[in-house]
Amino acid sequence: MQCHEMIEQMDDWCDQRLTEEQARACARHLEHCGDCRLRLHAEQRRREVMATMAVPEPDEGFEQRMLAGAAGGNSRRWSSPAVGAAMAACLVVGLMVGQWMTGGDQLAEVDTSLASEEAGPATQATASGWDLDEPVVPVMDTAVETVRLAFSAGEPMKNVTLTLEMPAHMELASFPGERTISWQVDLEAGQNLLSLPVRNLFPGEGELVAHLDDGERRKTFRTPVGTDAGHNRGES
Amino acid sequence: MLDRFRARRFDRLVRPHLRSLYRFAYRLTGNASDAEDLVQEVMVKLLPRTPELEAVDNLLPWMNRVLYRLFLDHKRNIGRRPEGALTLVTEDGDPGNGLDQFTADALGPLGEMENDRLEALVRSVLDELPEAQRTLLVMHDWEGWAQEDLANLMEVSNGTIRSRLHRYRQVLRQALIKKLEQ
Repeated sequence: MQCHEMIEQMDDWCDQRLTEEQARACARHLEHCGDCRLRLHAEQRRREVMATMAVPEPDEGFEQRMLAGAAGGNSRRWSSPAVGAAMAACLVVGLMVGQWMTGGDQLAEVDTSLASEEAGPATQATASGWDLDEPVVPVMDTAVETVRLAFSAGEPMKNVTLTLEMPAHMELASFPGERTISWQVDLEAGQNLLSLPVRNLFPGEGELVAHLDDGERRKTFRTPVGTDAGHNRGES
Repeated sequence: MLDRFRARRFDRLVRPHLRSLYRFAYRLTGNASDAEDLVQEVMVKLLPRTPELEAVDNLLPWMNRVLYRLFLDHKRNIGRRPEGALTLVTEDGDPGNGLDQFTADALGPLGEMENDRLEALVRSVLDELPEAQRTLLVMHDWEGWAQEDLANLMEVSNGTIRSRLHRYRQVLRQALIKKLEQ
């Protein structure tokens, strides 16, 4: 075997796709050809390194973000930032549930705020005294708003069932006609942020109702949403 | 009312695979933000198909295929990286296979290069490859897909995958050599 033949077969050698006869011929060549041994070594090193290149892990809230986004039809954009400029008003709803988690039967305070956002992705808003971190930015069409739910839990809670009920003038953006959705979430200690794309079917006001159920207790939170909900900020 | 249990069933099915899915997405897209967006697209797409998912024996490869197709659709739509952006050939026009240019002098540093440095080199070369080349190499040499599975996914013959891998590795090796010379 000549070097050029060995070189030609080196990929198949590394992929272990040579016939026995071909492999024997390559092995014989490698025994006496230092250059081809070096070539093989370099290619094997390249493969070893590539096969073990690490991928940075996503943060702890990744699973929850993905599942909540799917449930809400929240399709994070992954292309043009210009999409953000087309975002309609962004409704930011803070539901403070920390007291429930830590304070027995003391019902959580519910606070709402309406952040108008004509251009650019959602920015920080404050609800109930929290700074909301850079939230998930959904794909939006002009009729869609993102309801952002900020849950602050005093301690981690696994498998809490979250049920959301939309008022009559809203529906879930990715499920036309659906106004109720229920799924399981894990609440981390501290702030938990969920995004829920909804479509306003017509101008109106109503209540967004959230139920949290940990299997033993169920709490219900209500907050006004709709055209004038923003004016209610601080009044609830 | 939306089947209130669908999301719960979906959660139970896909949650264990989300990080693997993310890693695959990261390898394809090359960055965390696009990877997360791509996984999110997959989730949005699959939630309404929860009953179908429940019938799938081996869910992760199945979801990987969905993710790959979405990735491809997206690339087609935005035309991110033109094919042939990096096609190295020898002076006589023969693409060669890269290895024949590896002289003992060039191979020494490559073969003995410490992992971190070699990894950085490979990453940077991968990043410059045309999309189709990068994708196939990522899926086979990094993600570890079998040639047969790739052929099935890409709806081409095993031989086509084998020959593409051969050619794309040539380009990769030549690009590595070029980087080493710089």
